[in-house]
Amino acid sequence: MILTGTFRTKIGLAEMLKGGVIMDVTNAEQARIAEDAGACAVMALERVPADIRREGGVARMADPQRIREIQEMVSIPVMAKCRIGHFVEAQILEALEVDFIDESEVLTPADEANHIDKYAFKVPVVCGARDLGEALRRIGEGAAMIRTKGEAGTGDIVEAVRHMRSIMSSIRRIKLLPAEELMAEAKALGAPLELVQEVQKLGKLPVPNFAAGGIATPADAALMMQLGAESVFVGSGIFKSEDPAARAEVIVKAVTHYQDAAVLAEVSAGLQKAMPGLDISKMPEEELLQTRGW
Amino acid sequence: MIGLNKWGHRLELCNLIGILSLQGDFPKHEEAFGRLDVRTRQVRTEADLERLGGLVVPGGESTTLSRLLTDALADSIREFAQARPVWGTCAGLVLLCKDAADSRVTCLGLMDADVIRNGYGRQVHSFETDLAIPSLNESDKPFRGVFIRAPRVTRVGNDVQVLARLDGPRFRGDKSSFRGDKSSFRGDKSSFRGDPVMLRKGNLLATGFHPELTDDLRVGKYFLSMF
Repeated sequence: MILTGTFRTKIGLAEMLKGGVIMDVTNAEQARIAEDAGACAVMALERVPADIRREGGVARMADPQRIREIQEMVSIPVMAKCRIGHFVEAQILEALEVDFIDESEVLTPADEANHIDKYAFKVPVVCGARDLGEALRRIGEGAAMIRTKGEAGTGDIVEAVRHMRSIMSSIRRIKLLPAEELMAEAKALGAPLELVQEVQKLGKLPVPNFAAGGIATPADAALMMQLGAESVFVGSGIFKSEDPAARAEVIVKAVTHYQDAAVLAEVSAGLQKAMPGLDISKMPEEELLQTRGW
Repeated sequence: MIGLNKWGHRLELCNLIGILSLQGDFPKHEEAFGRLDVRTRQVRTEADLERLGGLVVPGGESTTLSRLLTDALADSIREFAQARPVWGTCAGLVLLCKDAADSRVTCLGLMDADVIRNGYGRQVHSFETDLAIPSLNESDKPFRGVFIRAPRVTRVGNDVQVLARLDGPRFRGDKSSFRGDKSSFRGDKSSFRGDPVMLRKGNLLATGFHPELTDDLRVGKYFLSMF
C-alpha cells in the first residue's frame, strides 16, 4: 500500500529544507539565479513584499502560468503563497503541484476569522506566527511548518527577532511547568492542550520552525539561526538589493556556517548595497502586515 | 571498548559519527543516533572529519549541497570513504552515486549507480510504503519507507548490492515501462515495482528513503554493524 499526502511526508519535506534558504522569486529567471546560488527552495509570488507595500492594492496568489514557468526552470521545491483563509487559491496551488503552500499575511487576507483547514490538502502548508499561541493554533489546523511573521518587505529584522524570541522563550517556560499548570497555559496561549503538552515533551515546536520577515544580510540570517530558527526565508532582501546573485550566495553560506563568525565576516565583505529598508518604529500601525491573521 | 577494527581504528572512535550538516535534515539523524546512544558531530569542514568512525550524508537539496560542498571537503569525504563507513539518504544517495544526469549536482562518484533526482515526482507524490529488507534484524517485520521527493535509482553496477526494492500489491505493472524519461513516471506508481531503494557497496550504504523520519532504528543499527 502506497500512501501519499500523509502528515509524515508533509513534515518530511519541511525537515529536508532545514539549514537552508528559501528565496522569494517573481519569475523564472530569478528562480534560476536562486537555485544557482544554492537556495533549498523558491517561493513564487507576483510581487515581492516591498513592492506590495509600495504599490498597495489587493495582493493575490501568483498567476498559475508564472508558477509553471518557475517549476519548469528549477529542480528545487517550488512554494507559492495563497491568501489567509482562501482555500480555493490553495486548491489551485495543489492542482499545480507546488511543493509547499504558504498561507501568508503578505497577501491580502480573504477571511478575517478563519484560516485554511490545512489537513484537507496533500501539499504541506506553512503559516506565519508572532508567538507560540499563534504557532500552535496553525499547527492545530494542520500546518507542517511555522515561520516567524517578522515584518515582510521592510528589510528591518527587529520584528522577526521579536517573534522568534517570543516563541523560543515561551517554549523554554513551558518545559519547566508542572503538568497541572498546562491547561491554564493552553488557555492563556489560546492553543490546544495536546499541542502544549507536546511542546513540553519535545522542548520545541512539533513541526520545523523557520524565520522570515525582514532578513536582508548574511548577518541577519545567521542571527535568526542563532536565535533558534531552523532555516530562513528571504523575501525582498535578495532581489531588491543591488547584487541579487552574490547576495543570495553569501546568505546561503551564512546559514550553513551561522556559528562561525570568521566565515560570516568573509561573506559579508564587499557586497553592494542591501535593500533600502523601512524603519518599522516609524511605520503607522495600519501598514503592518504581521497583524493579519490571529 | 578497546581494540582495533579491521581498518585499524580504535573501536571506541566508531562511537562518534559525523553528520554532514551543510543543509538538510541532519538534526533528525542526530536524534536517531541519540536514541541509539551514539554520539554525533556536525560536519561542515574538512577538519570536522577528524577522528570520526563514520559519516552520514543526509537528505536535503542536492543542488544546495553541491553548492556548499567545497572541492577540498569533497576530496576529504572521498578519502574518508576509502576506509570508513558512509551512509547517504535521499540527496545523500544522489551525492554518493556516479551520475545524476544533472549539471547542477556534484556527485562524489563513490558508488557505481545512476539516479534521477526527484524521479517519483513533486511533493504531492512523496509517499510512504512498507519495505521488505532481509538484511535487517527481525527481517520479517516490514520497514516503513518514507520517500520525500526521492531520487530514483535507474542503474546499479555489478559490484553494488541491492538490499531492498520497492514492492507490494500496488506495484503491479511492467518493468519494461521503465524509461529514462522523468515525466513518464510522474503520478503513475504502477511501474515502480522493483526499483532499488537501498544499496550497499563495501563500506558504503545508500537509502532513497528516510529511516530517520521514523521511530524504527534498524537501518541505523545496520549501518553501525558495518563498522
